[in-house]
Amino acid sequence: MRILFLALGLAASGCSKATPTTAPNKPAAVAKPVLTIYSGRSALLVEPLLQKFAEANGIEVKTRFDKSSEALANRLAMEGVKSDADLFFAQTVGYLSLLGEQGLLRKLSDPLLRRVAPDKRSDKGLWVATSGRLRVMVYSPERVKNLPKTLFELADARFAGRVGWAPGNASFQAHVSALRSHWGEAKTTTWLKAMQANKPAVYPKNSPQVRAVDMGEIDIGLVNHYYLHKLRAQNPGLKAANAHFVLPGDAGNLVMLAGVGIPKSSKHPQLAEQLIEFLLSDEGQSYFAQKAYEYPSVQGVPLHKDVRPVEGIVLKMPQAALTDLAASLALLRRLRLQ
Amino acid sequence: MSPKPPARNPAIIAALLFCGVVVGLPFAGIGLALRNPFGLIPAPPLEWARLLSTGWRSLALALGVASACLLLGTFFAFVQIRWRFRGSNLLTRLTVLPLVLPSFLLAATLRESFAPLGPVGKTLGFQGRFEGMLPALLVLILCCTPYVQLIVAAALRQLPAQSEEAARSLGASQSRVLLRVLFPGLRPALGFSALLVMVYALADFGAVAVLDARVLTFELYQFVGRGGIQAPLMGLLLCAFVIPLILIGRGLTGSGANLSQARKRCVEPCSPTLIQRLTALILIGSYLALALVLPTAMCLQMAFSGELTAPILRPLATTLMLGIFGGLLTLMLGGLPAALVTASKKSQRSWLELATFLASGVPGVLVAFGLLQLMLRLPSGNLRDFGEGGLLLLFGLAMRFSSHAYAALKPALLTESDSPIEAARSLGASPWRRFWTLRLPGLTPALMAGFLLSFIAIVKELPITIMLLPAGESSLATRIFDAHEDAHLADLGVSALTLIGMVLAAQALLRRWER
Repeated sequence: MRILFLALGLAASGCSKATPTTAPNKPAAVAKPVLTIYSGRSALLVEPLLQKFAEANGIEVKTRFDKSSEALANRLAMEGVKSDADLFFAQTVGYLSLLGEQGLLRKLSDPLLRRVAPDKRSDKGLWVATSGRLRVMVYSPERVKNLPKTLFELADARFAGRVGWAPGNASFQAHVSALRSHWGEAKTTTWLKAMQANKPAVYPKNSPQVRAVDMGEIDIGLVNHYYLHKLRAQNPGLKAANAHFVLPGDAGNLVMLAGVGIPKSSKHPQLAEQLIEFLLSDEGQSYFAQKAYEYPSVQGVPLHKDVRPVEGIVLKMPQAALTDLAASLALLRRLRLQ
Repeated sequence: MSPKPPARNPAIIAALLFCGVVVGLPFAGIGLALRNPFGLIPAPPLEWARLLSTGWRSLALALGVASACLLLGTFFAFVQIRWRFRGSNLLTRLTVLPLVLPSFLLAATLRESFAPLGPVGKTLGFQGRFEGMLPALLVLILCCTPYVQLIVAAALRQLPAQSEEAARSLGASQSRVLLRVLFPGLRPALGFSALLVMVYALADFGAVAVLDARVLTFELYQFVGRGGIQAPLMGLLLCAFVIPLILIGRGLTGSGANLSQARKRCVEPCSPTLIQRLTALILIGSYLALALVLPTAMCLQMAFSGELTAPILRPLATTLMLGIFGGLLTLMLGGLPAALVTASKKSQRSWLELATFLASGVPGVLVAFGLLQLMLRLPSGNLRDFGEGGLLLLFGLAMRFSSHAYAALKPALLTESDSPIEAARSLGASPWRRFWTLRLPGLTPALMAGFLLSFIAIVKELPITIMLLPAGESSLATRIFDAHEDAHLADLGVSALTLIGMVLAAQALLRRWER
């Protein structure tokens, strides 16, 4: 029973976090401002950075994480002016563009926008990219001796039953948008159908694909590059490796941007701008590069030693091509990939 | 003990209204989602064929699980009650232990072990992926068999020995006794346990989500964030499957009630033949290996596989808070109909009971979806803040598990003796004193049992918690689910072992209070 009451005490103390305490001999504590963030990026990736900002500024950060950026964007749009979100941290900038088109984001200040190159921010100044990730294959070096040279070749029958993907994930959806822009609707549909015919393993996210390669469930997964580095940091014996498609500028070698925008409903827009400034600062960008193994948005920040530069291999295309999500989702749903 | 006076009709009407509101809230949310299917990206047109095929898959899964559980659970119950051999008592006690494990944990650990390079997959040379309908079927069979075993064992204990002895003395064979005497006697218990397992399998979210089995609950969850009318329609289809099963189940418990009336002399356990003993050992051994030993070993292995990504203390505190406050609210929500049932006429009781079991029978994913839709449409202000701060989550959990509290409290309230209370009243004791000194001590075991049953169910619960937990929080259950998706094995192992420890501690307390 004592355990029960201890727990009750603990619970009661946990419940009073928003209430300022008023002890007789102490002045009433001022409640900290709360910055509410809707994040399509995972807690493990961004929470340490957000907490650092909160501690440095004496504020509280409350983050609603959701693996589905679409669910978060829908929620934010549905809440409209009632939303308590002060910042939307999107896994891919496509959903930021969608919210911008609906007039739900406020314009960011010019000094913030100028921190990054024009191809890493919205034309209308509504969002800014915080980091980038390269789409790669994660594969088993033991079981795969001949990797496909192009993304299109990944749909070859020789890979039937050996490949994994995550069609519900925002990164994959953005990749499909890029493919539609680069290859056109017909070729993208053909590729998706060919992949589908090979009965790929479906995963909710990227990291389980890395694990699935390690455990022998699949031989190749289509992921963002940094998941392997993250999981290898926890498990150095991981039996998997990253590979890009050898053809320079192949449609598979795509860099995708994660970004942030401030909803018009934000009650703390200044604080939200300060947070963006922190994310784009040398400290924030070094975190993305060194701890999250990502490509920084701001030029001049060094990459992690295990992350290879993308110059020479990457598909060059405007980020706007990645933002046409509506048609990509419609295609994926038509093919019953969603 | 004097008979309790029947309550006036307005009280019953108020209770029914209350139950209506409780069940009505999530359905109001579903109605709003149907009326205004908001989505930034227009939802694709509704595909009835896809919706119906998902529905059939759910139903097929539930039927498959129920059939297999009936066979396995009945066999275990038979071994428990009718056979005696060395270790049989311990083995049949162990077969109910998998109830401690939530279905998503069982699914996650089995998926890991059956992977081609996992411990079992490697040993057996298994090359496929442990995902889809068949693995989901296996996991749900492992989860639900103990329910059948418990119900059928209770029924077997109550079967009178005379009819079986008479049949045997008249020369009836073993199989004839089984078909003509045992089976008719067990029919209500078998029917009820089959329905219970079907409702469980239809409502399960965790195992099917981990194993990517495309059934209604998982598809509904996938559609929650997308807008469109698919999610609410899937929810309604799920209800169309579940509610009739609950109604039939209520009918069956009525017909089976005579089994638990009076204890009769039952058949003495006998020593099985060698083949029977070997069959029992192989079946129970395989079941325990898959449902208990392998998951626990995997959790231990994962717990020591690396460092945690975040400390366990916060999810642990959140889980405790949810269990305690959710348990208390469940006790209140389940206690109200229990109190009204004891004070009402027999004809009114069945309605109240039905309302309570229907409220509890709504699948968690549907409750969460409805409440979430309702919350999103609330105007900003205190009400919405309370909802987002965890009040709706607690309400959803209390609604889902109110039948646990109801089932624990009703017998205690019905058998409560009025004479000491009347004596105290005649001696001038105040209502508060009468309650505190006479009624509460008598009701404490039932209250504790109701609270602990709800606590155990709540800490293991996944869909309502994952969808309605306040921003920035995680419980042990959601952390296990997320850690599996993110492949953070140490997080998964440590959270799982902590959750198992918490449930076992609550079970130990429960046994103490039941005694």
